[in-house]
Amino acid sequence: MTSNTPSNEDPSKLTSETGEKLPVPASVLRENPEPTNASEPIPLGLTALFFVLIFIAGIYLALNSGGFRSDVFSPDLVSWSGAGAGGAAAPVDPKVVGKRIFTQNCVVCHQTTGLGMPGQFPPLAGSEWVIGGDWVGDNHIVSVLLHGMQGAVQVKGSTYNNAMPPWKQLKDEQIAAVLTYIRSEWGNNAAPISTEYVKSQRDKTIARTEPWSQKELKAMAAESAGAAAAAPAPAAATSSPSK
Amino acid sequence: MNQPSHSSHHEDTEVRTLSNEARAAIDASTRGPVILFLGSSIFWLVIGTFLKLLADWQLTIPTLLDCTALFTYGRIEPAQNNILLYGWASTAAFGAGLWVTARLSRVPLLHKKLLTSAGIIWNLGVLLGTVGILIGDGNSIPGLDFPGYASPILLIAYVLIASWIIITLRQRQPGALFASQWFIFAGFLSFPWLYATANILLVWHPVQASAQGPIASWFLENITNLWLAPVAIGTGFYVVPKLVSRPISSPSLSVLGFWTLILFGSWTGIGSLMGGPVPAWMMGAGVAASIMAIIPVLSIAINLHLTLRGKYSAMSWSPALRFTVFGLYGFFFSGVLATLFALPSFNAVIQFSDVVAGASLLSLYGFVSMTFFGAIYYIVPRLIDAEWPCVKLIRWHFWFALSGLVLSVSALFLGGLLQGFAQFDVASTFRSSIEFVSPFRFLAAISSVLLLLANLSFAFSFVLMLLKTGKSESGPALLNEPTENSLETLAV
Repeated sequence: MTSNTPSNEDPSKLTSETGEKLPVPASVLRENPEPTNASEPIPLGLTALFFVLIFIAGIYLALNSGGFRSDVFSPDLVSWSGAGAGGAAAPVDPKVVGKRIFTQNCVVCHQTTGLGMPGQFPPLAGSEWVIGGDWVGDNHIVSVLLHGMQGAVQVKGSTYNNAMPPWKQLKDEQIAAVLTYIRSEWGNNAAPISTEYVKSQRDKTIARTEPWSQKELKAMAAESAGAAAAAPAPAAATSSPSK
Repeated sequence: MNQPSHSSHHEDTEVRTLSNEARAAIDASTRGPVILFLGSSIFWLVIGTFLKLLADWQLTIPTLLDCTALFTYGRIEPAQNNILLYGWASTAAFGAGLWVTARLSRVPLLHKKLLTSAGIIWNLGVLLGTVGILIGDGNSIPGLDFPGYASPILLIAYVLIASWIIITLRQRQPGALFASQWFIFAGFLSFPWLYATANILLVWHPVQASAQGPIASWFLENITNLWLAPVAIGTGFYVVPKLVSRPISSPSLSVLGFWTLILFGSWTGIGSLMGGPVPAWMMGAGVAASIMAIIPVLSIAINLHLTLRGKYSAMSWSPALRFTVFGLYGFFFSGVLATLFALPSFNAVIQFSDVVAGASLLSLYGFVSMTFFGAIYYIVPRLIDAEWPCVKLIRWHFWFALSGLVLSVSALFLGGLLQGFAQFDVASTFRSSIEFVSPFRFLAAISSVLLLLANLSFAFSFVLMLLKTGKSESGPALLNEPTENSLETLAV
C-alpha cells in the first residue's frame, strides 16, 4: 500500500519475539498514516465565548458561595460581609401545607370546590361546622377531624347520612394546617386553628375510640380556638348550647 | 501519495512514521489481551442490557418475576448499572486504551501473559460483584454497588492493567506525545484514585453521614468525566484522523479541552446536591464548574468537527466512523445538557426525576458506548486478520442502537419533565407524579428491547468475527457503496 511513509526505524525492534516475519493483515495494509496535528489556532469566537463563560461562572460563584463558610447552607442567608449567617429558614405557610393535605386526603369526598356532593358528602364552603354556627364551636370541627363522625348530620339545612373517617393519624400541625386552609378557602373567613389548640383537643378526647354522632357533639359546649389559646387551661364555654 | 494538500505543511514528519510490518508486529503483541478485554466487555454488555431490559419492564409491570428476591427491581437495577459500568464500558476502555497506546507509542506489549491474567482477575471481580448484588450484599450507592469484598479484586486487577499503559508509554519511541496518549493516560490514572477513595470513605470505613452525599455524587460524576470520557475521547482522537486521513485540526484546542476537562469535569458532581445538607459553597462551586464544563465539551467537539469537515460522507460506508461520529454527537449533547440541567432553576425541577436517568443513558450509551463500538469495529479486523463477516448485522446494530437510544432518551426526558413539575407543585401528590411518568416508562421499556437487539447483533457479529468467517480477500465490510473518491474506502 503506497499510502504509508516508509519506515526509518530499526525493523528488528518491531518483529515478533520469535523473529519470524509476520503476515500483514489486509486491514493494516490499507491503513492511513498515523495521526498528526495540524496547527490551526483556536477560533477567535470560541475564545471570546469561553471568557464570557468563565466570567459568568465566576459571578455565579461569588453570589452563591455563602462566603465559603462551612456553617452556611443557603446562599441567600449570607452577604459578602459575612453578616446574617445561620438565620432560621422562613416559616412554612400553613395554608400551603393545608392545601396539600386536603388534596391528598379530603378532596375525594369534599371536592376541590369544597362543595361536596349533593345528598352524599356535605359541603365545606359556608358550612357552619367549618366556620362556626349557632351551637358549633372550633372544638367540634377539631373533634370531628380527630375521631370521625357517623349518622345523620345537618349541614346548611340539608341532611346527610354518611361516615367521616377519623384522621387522628395526622400530626397536630397537619390537622391545624388543613383546618386553617378550609376555614380560609372558598369564601370562608374564619380564624386560623393553632397546633396547640389541636393538641389540647386531642389530649382532652384521648380516650375516645368511636366516631362522634351529631347528638354527642351537640351535648359538648362550643369553644373558640382563640379564647382557648389565650387561657392556659381550657376556658369554660362562653356560650351555652342552644336548646 | 496524495495527502490532502493543507495538511502536509504542518506535519511533524520525523516522528509519525510507522511501517505496515511494524504495525502488524505491535498488533500481534496486543492481540491476546485486547481480544480478551473486548470479548469479555461484549459478553458483559449483553448480560447488562438483558438485566436493564428486565429492570425497565419491572417499572411498568411491578409483579414481573417477583417470585424470588434475586430478581427484584432493587437488585436487578444496580446489577445492570454496575455491569454496564465495570463489565462493559471499563473493560472496553482497557482494550481500546491499550491498543491505541501501543500503536501511538510504537512499541509492542511486553510480558502479556501477566496482563492477560490481570484481565481474567478483573472479569472474576465483576462476576463476584454482580453475584454479590444479586444475593443482596449490594451497597445501595449508585455506581458503587459492588460489595466490599469484590472491589479490592477489581482494584488489584486494575493496578496491574494500568501499569501496562504506563510501562508502554515509558518505553515509547522518541517523539512528541499525541493527544490520545494524554487523554488515555489521564483516564487510567484517575480510576484508582476515584474508586479507592470512594470505596474507602463510603464502603469500607464509612465517614459521617453528612459527608457521604458529596463523596457519592463526586464519584458518580467523575467515573464518567475522568475515567470513561478521557479514554473514549482519546480513542476518538486516534480513530477519526486515521479514518479520514486528516491531521487533528488544532493542537491548542486539544490542550485546552484536556486541561479544562480534568479541571472542571472533576467539580461538576457536587452541584447535583442542591437543597441537600451540604454547605452552600459546594453547590455554588459545582454549578460554576458545570457552567465552565461546556468549555472542554465545545473544544473537543469542535476540534474533531474541524478535523472531519468535508469528510463526513465517509460515515455512510465506514462502520467505525459512523459509530465514532455518533459517539461524538452523544458527547456534545450530553455535555451541553449536563450544563443546562445543573443550572439551579432546572435542577430544582428535574433533580429527582427520570431526566437524570435519561441523561446518564445518553452519556453512557450515546457517548461512551458508541465511541467504543466504533473503536472495536476499527481494531478487531487488524488484530485477527479477518473482515467483519456480515454487513447486515452491523446495520442492525447501528439502527437498533440509534432508534433505541433516541426513543429511550426522549421518553425519559419528556416523562421526567412532567414528573419533575408534578413533584415541584406543592398541591400535587407523589402518586400523581408517578402517574404522569408511567406511559413514558413504558416507552423506555420498549426501547430497551431495541437496545438489546442492537447489542445482540453486535455480539453475534463479534463471535462470527472470532470464528474468522469473513475472508480478508473479500474486502472490508462497507455499509454502503463509497462515492466518487475511491481512496477513502481504504481507510475503513
